[in-house]
Amino acid sequence: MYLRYGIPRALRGLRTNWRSTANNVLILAASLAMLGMIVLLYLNVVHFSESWLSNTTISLFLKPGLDDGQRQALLDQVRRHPLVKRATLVSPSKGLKDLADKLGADPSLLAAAGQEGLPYTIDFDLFVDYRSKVGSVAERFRALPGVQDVVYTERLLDQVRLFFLMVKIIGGFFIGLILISFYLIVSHATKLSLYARREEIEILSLVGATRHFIRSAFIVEGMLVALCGGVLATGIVWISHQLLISGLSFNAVTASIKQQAVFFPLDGLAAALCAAALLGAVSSSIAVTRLLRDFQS
Amino acid sequence: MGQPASRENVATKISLEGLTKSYLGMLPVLDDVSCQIDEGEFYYLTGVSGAGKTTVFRLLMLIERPDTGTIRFDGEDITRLTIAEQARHRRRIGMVFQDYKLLASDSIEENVALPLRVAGYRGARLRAKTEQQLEQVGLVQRRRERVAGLSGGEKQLVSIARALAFDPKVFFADEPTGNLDHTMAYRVLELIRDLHRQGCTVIVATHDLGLIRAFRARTLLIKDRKLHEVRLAEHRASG
Repeated sequence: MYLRYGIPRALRGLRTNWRSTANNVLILAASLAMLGMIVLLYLNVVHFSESWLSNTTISLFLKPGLDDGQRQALLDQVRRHPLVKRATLVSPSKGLKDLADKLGADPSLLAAAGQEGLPYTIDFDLFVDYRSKVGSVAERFRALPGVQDVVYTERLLDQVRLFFLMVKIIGGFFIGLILISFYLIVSHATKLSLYARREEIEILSLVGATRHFIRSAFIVEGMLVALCGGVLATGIVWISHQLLISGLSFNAVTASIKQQAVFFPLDGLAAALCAAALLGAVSSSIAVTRLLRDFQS
Repeated sequence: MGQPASRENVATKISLEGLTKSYLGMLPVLDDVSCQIDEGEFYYLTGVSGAGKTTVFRLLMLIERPDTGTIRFDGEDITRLTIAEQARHRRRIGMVFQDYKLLASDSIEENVALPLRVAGYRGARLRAKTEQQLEQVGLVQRRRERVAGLSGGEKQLVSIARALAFDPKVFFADEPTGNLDHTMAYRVLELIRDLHRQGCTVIVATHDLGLIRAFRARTLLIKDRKLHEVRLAEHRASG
């Protein structure tokens, strides 16, 4: 019964007070877009760090001038190590192709850099249970004759780990802060809207409407405004994301970021919109209940 | 005005017992007021501006709570009702206000139908009942018009039509003719008198002595924070 009255009444209220509705939607959209951008940045940092941490491949860069027999002997030595799951010898041309695939760049451009620029490498992975030993195994192979350098994720991560940690902490802090301000904005916007329609609430109360009945229209209104704000914010964040990503092709590092960058998953987005609508409903409910209490006190 | 029934046989509809009401710790507007409203009677409630006429209605409608004292409707102490029971209490009373209390952006029909919607009326039942109420005040043909475009008198007619939603046995009107010209004021009062003729207990707050003279009835005067039943001559003497 409440919704049969509440939904049409809310739609009419939104239409009649369209300026105030538009203001509230825009304020919410701006607030939610900020929240969305920070959450998206946070998600991407977490995604990058997890993606990097889960990569246990170790690359042995071989010295130039080794013949096929020496390279094969080194490969066999690596394969015999009890913690090594699999190992492959990568030629400069294969390395170039893999790099091109990874970066999404034009292979002809990379070829122009010359195959001579890349050394032979032996790429190998450890069994899952021994991931924690990546550092010690890699350093052990560094000492082998014929190995020029060793590159592995752990080593790279050491350099960016602190950065990731800081982004996570600061991101978490800002998400909390913006969530609080979102609640305050919704609550304040609802209160303003309710005070503007104080007489309507008074009339409903005078003709014998229960609190649930009066609240129904305002709760639906709060939900719809928050939902519209959420949808608009999603659009803003998506467009910003696309613009940023399309501008990330200027070098190999940014091209790698571009390939791995993620947007919100659809189910997460749906859950976030539902949460925004729920928060809108709760804020409206609290504001209208307080107003009714004032009126009926 | 129809003749009131013999007072010996009349039941008490509303009784105020030791009622005191003050606002924000100021001097009380009503101080230890006691009074009985007989069933089926027509009363004027009068007094100077600010005497407490509206406060009496706000207490009877449970918009305000008394500081002390009780209010009984058909013997039931309504000051102890829960929030949900208060809503039900308001539905059994028809009330009109000097400022109409209408939803200006809604149509006449929607305003009149509002209490019925609140009570769960839907579809054909809602339409039939709304039409019946609009007929009583002669606004059926104008049902689709927005309230915002109506004159004060027409708004008061809409307000009366809305108050008839549940065929009330008690009807309150707070300065219903305050903003109206004489012709419209008399039309509005005539409608209220019709309700009284149908057995409704009516209280009309007014300070329009002309109206009281034209349609004589029992008169309650609020003076010095007390409520007194007076005869018209006494009222005139009291200023």
